[in-house]
Amino acid sequence: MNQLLASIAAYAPGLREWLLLTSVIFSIGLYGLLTRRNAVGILLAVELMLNSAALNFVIFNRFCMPARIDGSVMAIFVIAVAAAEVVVGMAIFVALYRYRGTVDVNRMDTMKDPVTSFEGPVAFNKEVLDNINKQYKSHHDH
Amino acid sequence: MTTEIDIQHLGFALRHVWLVPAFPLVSFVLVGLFLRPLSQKLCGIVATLAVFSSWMAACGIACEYYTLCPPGGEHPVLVPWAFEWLRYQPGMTVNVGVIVDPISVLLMLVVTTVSTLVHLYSIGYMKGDTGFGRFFAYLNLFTFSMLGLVAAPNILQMYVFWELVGVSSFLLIGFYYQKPSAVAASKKAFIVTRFADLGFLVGVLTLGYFGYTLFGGAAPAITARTAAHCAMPLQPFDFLYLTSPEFLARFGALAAGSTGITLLTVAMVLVFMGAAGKSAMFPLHIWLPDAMEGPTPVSALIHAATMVVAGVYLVARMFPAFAVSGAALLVVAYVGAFTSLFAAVIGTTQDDIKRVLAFSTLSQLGYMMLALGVATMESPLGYTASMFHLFTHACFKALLFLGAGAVIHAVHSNEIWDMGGLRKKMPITHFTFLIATLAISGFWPLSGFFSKDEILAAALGNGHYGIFAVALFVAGLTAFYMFRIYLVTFWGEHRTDKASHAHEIPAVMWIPLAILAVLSVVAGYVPMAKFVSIGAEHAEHHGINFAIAIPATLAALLGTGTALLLYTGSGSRADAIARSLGGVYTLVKKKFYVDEVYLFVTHRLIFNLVSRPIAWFDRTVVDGGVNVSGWATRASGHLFSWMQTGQVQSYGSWYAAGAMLVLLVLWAALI
Amino acid sequence: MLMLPEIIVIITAMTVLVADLFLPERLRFGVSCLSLTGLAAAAVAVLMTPMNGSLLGGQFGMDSVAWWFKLFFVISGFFTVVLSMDLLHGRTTFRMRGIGSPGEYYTVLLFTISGMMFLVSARDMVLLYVSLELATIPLFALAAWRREDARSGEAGLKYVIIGALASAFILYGLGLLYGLTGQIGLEAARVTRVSPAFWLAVAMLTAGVGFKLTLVPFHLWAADVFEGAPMPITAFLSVASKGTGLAFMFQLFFRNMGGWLDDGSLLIALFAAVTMTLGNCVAIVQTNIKRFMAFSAISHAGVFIMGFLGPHDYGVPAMLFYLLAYIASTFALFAGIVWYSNETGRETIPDYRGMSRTNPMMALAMMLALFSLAGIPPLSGFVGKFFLFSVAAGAGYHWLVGVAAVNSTIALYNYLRIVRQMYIEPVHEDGPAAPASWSLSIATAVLTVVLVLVGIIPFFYNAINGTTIAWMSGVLPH
Repeated sequence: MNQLLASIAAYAPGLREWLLLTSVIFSIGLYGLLTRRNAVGILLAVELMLNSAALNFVIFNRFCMPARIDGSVMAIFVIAVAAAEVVVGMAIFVALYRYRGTVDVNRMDTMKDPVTSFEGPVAFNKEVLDNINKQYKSHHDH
Repeated sequence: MTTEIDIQHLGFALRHVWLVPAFPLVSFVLVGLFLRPLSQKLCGIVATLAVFSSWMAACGIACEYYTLCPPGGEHPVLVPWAFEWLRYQPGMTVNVGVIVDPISVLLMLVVTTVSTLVHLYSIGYMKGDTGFGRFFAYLNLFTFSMLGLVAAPNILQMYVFWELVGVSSFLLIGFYYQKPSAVAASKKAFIVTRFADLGFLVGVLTLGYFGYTLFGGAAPAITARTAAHCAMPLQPFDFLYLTSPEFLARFGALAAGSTGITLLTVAMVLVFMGAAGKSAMFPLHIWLPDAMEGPTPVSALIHAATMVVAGVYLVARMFPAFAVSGAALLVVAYVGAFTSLFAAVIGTTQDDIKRVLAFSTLSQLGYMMLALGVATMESPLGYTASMFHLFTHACFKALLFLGAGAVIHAVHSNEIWDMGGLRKKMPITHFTFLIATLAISGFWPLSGFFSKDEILAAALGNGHYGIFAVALFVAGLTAFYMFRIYLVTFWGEHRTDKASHAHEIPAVMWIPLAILAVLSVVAGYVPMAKFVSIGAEHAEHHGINFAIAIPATLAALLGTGTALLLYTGSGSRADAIARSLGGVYTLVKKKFYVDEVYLFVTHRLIFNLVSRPIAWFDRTVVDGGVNVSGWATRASGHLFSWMQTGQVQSYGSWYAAGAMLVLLVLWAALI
Repeated sequence: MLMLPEIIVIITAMTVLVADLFLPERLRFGVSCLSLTGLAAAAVAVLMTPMNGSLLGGQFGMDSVAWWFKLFFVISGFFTVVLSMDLLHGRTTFRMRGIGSPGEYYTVLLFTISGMMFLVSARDMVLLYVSLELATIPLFALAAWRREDARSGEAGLKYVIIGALASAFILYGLGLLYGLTGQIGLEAARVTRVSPAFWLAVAMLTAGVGFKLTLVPFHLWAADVFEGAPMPITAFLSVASKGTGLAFMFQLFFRNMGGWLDDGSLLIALFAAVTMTLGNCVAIVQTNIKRFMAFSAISHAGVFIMGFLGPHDYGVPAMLFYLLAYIASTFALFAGIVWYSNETGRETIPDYRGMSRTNPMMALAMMLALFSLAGIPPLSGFVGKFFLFSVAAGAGYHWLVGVAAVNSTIALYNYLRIVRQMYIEPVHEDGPAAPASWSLSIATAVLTVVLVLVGIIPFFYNAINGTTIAWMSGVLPH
């Protein structure tokens, strides 16, 4: 048992493991974005995705070019940008909530392409042909 | 003597040659879009002033050009202003520019002069017409297009403007669009000339193709000696390139298949087909008489003085190429000679004053063509003579049309038998019409005498005796039919009430007549050979060659005498002769049934044998296919709009799926 | 000073915000004038900026392509302000509620424009990403600007969710590129090693670019957002947002992954074909003019990316030229649409019926713009398409040219639907009462003249070509 704990304590995850972690977080975020019905939940999911991507930068920085700080700087900026993104999103959701009383994204479908009936090629063809023939006939009767 | 010209340091007018077509274009936009609803008077004045400005610019160009290269010397071709328009690939660029050489300067002067006078005349003629503004907008459009055509330094630009003049002619012939005959005439003109232009286009493309490929795409290099006079490097479509000896030597050596005819001849005959359509040569002449449905000033400007000479101009522009292919030049000569005879014969029997003038125009255009046809690079008198005749003919034929317009305006009829005795009612019109009649008949000392004599001399000088005889005969016929309408219209008694109540036209209309009359008198004294020439040798034709002047004058006198004999006093003598000729007279009067032949061929043969089966195929198979494809497109619209559910999470799913798909495509393609 | 145009735009944004607070109601119009002045000054500043050089230790760079992009962004911003003026100051017959204060609107708009301008000058991933977000996030707010309109809020919601999704994809892709190359700078980080991780990065970045450019199937947000946004913002989205997408694509695929672009050209060609076809087909069934314009913009995105197929030293100038033609034509068309919606509040295609009789000049301008978008010679849209098609043909994608030609036909049908309503159908019994305001009229006239002249006069094409070709062939990877 102690040995197991020691091996766990001594376990240093490498680049591969870290990348696996970020991709899992990204996927969880994506899943959340596509399934949560509450818009605020979607924003949380967005945070997950953005932060996993930011984490990528830090990880690559740490493992590939430890002498520089490019990736970490990028991560700081990403945090700021993600905050801005969420703030604007929340502002929009609040305004919408005041007007609609809900932020359930499934109900946000007043704008869409209507599904309309559409006849087959034969009917379309026949109508147009009849029209043309009528014009042709009246033209040549004179 | 070679003149050293620095293209960078020219006078103002030559540096700004684009001004000439620019004025009417600006005025067209102004009048057409903005001034039309405001005031009729303003439309007329702006349009006329614009064309007058063009005329001044053209005069400036003429002065500067002939100061730079004095008359009698060599006349190099300049392209002082050009810009790149379409670049297909390096070595194959189409420029837009303005060419300046003797014939383009001449044509610019003719077009702007006649156009200015016709604009002025139209202010009076069209007064009160509801389409007044539209008319002037169209006239400006035409003038712009014609000047663009004249100025074209390459054959593709010429083709573009060639079609533009066709469009403006179409619009103006059909100006009275409520009148079915006008609409029919405009359609006829458009279709016939379009048909001819098809040949022209194929010719243009042939020339352009070989222009590019014969020198392996390095085309412009061979013409370094003229490059100094051009604002842009020469390109395969440029006239200077197409008429250069290097190109013609190589192109002329190519045979079309195993027929023994050179490709050059084929290309030039195709180009001539376009020219024949525009200049109404037999058998493509049928549109011109019908085009008289347009307002008379239009007939004067477009269908007498300017647009119809575009074909002659084109042949003159491409003359070196025609000359290298002797066969194509012979085609020009014989078609021209035949048209001139054919039209003159028909002209003797027509009763509509404008139609007589139209057939006279056909005949004179044939004259110009045959003059070009008998010329060679070694003895280019015909070339000069043709341009000379173009110049004088523009003056007196515009004058005749405007005079006819005045008469029609006064009598409200086109039939010469409705007129009569107008010489006292309309003295100015009568006097100017007489001058024009004398000029076109070729009486000394008026302008027609000199230009016609030069043509006859050219035909005789180069040994075309048959053509010379035809031309001489046509000269007599011309005098006959011209004096016929002159006498019937202005002499004798008033045949109708309207004729007896006719009165003189206002000043705005007779001033142009007077100016044109003066020009018709003095135009013959221009030493054209010194100004317009081609090739190294100059066409020397000093003074009057009595060996030609005497027979020509005799022919004219004979024609005049016959007209005097038949059409003074009672008309019975003419009728008697007409009756005695019987069927022949009817044949001529019906214009040799050419129109009917066309109708038979198109309506009976082509419609039944070709068009109907094609129409059936078109309606069932092609239309069916088109409809199905249209339906499929709409169906796919419906199908894909199903993706637009309005659900943002479904959009997100598509988004992620799309990214996945890209990954898969990359994987599949690159693994 | 290379950054002067951006600085002017930002200072204008700040000044407008402050001026909006302090100006009394009757002088509130000064805010619009201030924005216009600022943008005009920025345009002059762009014109005076040299076409090469760099700042901030190479993080901020300038070249001729960036120069043209900046000019186009400033011009688009200028015309968006002109189109917005009547609406924001209540000078319309149809009263639109909840439009808010003009100063804030302009501030947000100006920040977007500054973001776009930084985007084309970015030389490392930090600035690239931050400026891309600066160009995008304010647009979320602008799309949701009409507070008392549920559709506007809904548009904002959709835009923000898909926008955040795209942002995450871009960031993840950039992170992978960073890991693969070890370089944060764009030009230094030319990828040579090709591996599955690289393909994943490309796929994610393509999705990110596809969001901005509305490439199929990343386009689905466009129609709804276009419909919900205020009309001038719809115009801005269809022009400037497209330009941003192109600039972003240029930065990524040309500057950063230039060597890969030739291998990936088949992918771009596929996207071009699918995008233009689907955009045109779905436009057929649209009746709302905003949705219609959304699909028109989508199909044009397919045309634009043909410029990346290469030969690149001709492709990118052709794309820039078409962007110019597209800006002029789209804004000329939107001027008419904005005017109509301001006066009547209606926005379906049949509402435009009979406009040629009630307002012939506006109808003429709209018709010319539609013809230009459809690519009818000699208007600028035709010339631009011609050059882009010849780029595709030069790269060997003849089938794509065929697809594009078929699409031009469908597009022509689409655009002629509007022309038919304007010119053939009987007059609308309840058409707009007032003629267009002077500002809209002048803008329409200028844009119409430009869209005609750009097609006829080769000056513009020569200017774009002359400045960019040499630079492009200099930086092309060999």
